[in-house]
Amino acid sequence: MTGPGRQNEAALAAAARQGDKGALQEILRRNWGWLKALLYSYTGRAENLDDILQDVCVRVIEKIGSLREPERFRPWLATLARNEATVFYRRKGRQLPSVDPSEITLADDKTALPPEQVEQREATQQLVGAIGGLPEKYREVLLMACQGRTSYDDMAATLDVPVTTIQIRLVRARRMVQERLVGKEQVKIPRT
Amino acid sequence: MNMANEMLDILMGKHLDGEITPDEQRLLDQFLADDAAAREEFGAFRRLHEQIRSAVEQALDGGRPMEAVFDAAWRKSSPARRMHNRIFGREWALTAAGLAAGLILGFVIHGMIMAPGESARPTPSPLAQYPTDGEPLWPSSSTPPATPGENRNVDWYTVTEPSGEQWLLEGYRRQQVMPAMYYGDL
Repeated sequence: MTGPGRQNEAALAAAARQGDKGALQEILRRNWGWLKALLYSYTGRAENLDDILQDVCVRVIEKIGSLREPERFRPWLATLARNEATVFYRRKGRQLPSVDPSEITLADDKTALPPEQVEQREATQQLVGAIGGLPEKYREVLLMACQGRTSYDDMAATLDVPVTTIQIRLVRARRMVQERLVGKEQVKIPRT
Repeated sequence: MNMANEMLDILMGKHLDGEITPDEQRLLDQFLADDAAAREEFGAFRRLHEQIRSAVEQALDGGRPMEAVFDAAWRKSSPARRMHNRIFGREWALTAAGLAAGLILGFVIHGMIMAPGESARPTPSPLAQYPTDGEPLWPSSSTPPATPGENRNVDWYTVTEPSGEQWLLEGYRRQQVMPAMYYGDL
């Protein structure tokens, strides 16, 4: 997002803080893609996403008044989302993160598919499993870049890390996925 | 992986994510023009990128629309919290609340520090007069000495000079007498 875009978002956050429902809905709509990707990166389960997203929305509605810096809405939302995902799984007696590549699910998993699509779906399942097997910090940037179509600058602002870190994590995430797909399960994870 | 390879990976990634600058694009083009293996690598990287994007989109496809999730959350959220945000989300309301809290806190602290006996200022003593030989005498306070437990730090005196000018003096309990900060026609 460009400078004016950020200012616009900060203005929306400031209006939302004062109880403007329309502004709150609009700012959430703008950030919905990466928010969904981020939650998926934490949970690895598409079927729970709507419930967690709703919990996140409830918390945002109730806590937006405590947002002191409207220009930092994104990192605030990312932190809140992670906390809500943790609370969601704690209520179910599980801990976060506990992403098991073999348990990674696609949306509409139970839908009956024509035979020609089954193979493609299995390949996709394998790829999603490889992504799910990445360490969290690589998984989250890869999913945000793909689903959220989020720029490097925005990802850096959201995750509170330098832009160069985002670049390097993305490259390494893709490399690790590639290596997992060709069977190199024991990938040495570099430090960033 | 050496530095050149990682550099190439970063450039390829930035190209695929639409984040590459013109200078970086020229550098990437140069890499690819000079190295057939790099071109092959770039092709594989591009295919992987598209597969990942497609897989992620498929994985996250579906679910309720954002508006539906938001509306359900709005109904589920606490009306009291929403009202709280409406009132206290404004800068001026926060500032006013802070000032009011500060004022109340100040009064409370003042009340805790000041003993009840000290809150009322002692009545100024009667005027002390100069004796006839013209030598001034330090006046003595007519207020009764402080009783045990009474916290009184200062007594007040007034003195009239032969010229008619009046002085206001304050006497500390440590037997000190000091002129007040103002004098003249009291």
